[in-house]
Amino acid sequence: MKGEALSVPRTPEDYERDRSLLMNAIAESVAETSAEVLWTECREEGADVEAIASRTKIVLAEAVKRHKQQKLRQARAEYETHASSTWKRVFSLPQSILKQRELLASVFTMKPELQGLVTAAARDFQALTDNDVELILKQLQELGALDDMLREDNRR
Amino acid sequence: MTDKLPLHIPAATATVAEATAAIEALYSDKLKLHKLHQYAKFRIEGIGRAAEGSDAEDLLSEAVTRTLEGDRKWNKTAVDMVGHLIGVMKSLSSHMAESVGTRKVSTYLESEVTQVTDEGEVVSPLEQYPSSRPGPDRILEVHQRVELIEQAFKEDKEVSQVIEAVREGFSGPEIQELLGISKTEYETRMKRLRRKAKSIDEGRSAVRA
Repeated sequence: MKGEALSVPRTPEDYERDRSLLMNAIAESVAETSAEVLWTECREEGADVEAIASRTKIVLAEAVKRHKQQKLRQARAEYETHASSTWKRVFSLPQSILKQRELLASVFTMKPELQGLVTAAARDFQALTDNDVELILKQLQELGALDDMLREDNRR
Repeated sequence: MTDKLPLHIPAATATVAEATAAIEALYSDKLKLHKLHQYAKFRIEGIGRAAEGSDAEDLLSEAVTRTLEGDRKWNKTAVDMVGHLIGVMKSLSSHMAESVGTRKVSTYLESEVTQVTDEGEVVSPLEQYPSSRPGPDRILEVHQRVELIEQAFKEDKEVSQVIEAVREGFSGPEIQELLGISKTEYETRMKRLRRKAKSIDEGRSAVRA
């Protein structure tokens, strides 16, 4: 080490580097010192150690709370995505009108009691327009009358 | 003769639930909370302008978040939660300092980025952002801080030796070896340096206020 190092003119970058090295060395000395010694040392210097500890507790608690809330939001979003895709998978009606007519025919065959829910005109199956077929299926779906059948259909 | 087997301590990475519980257990330990804050404070001081507005509490908060998100695993057999968070803060602050030092920036002429508003006013986006280079006030502040610390130990040869060695880039154990002093003696000298650095900092804060 050079004894005269302190008197050598330094550039702003030298000062920045020196400050950085000194502060980091002090930080490491803090890491090596026991919490009890640091507490006593700072209190003797007049620092409000209680206030520092209280603020630090809030910092930790808020970070933990944010993390827990984020996990909850993630879980909720995953549940909603899953529920939505399940709903679409299980309860979507067939797209083609031919399949829709087949579905309505099998509904009435398998659950003849449902025929009582539709108007007399609708019971004349062949006379129904494509729109009527879709509308009746949607109404039956809303009533939950198709749940079993659509699940079966989707499983196939 | 058989060679001694190296001591093998298996790494036991804590689960997120264990890490959360360990952090929550710190809420009631004022001494450890205070230590974490002190460490964060000097680390932020150490990286200077690379902190880019982050303070000690931001650094600690980030260390907790990284731990809970699993980015930084806690080896619970090797270190307690305070030691772990100190390690994460050290790594984060070093990374911040490096990323500012090595940040790649594209070069543009100011005329290439100036815009004209509907009212015909010429606006330069460069005016909206502070320069990454330290300004004159910052240079003066750093200069004064270092000078004040050095002046404070002008008559204390033992601490002056440590300061000089730190400035030359030696680590704690290297300084102990270089100066031929024990760990306890080194810690005693560092304690004097730490106390003075804090009092200088508080004096500057009081002047600013």
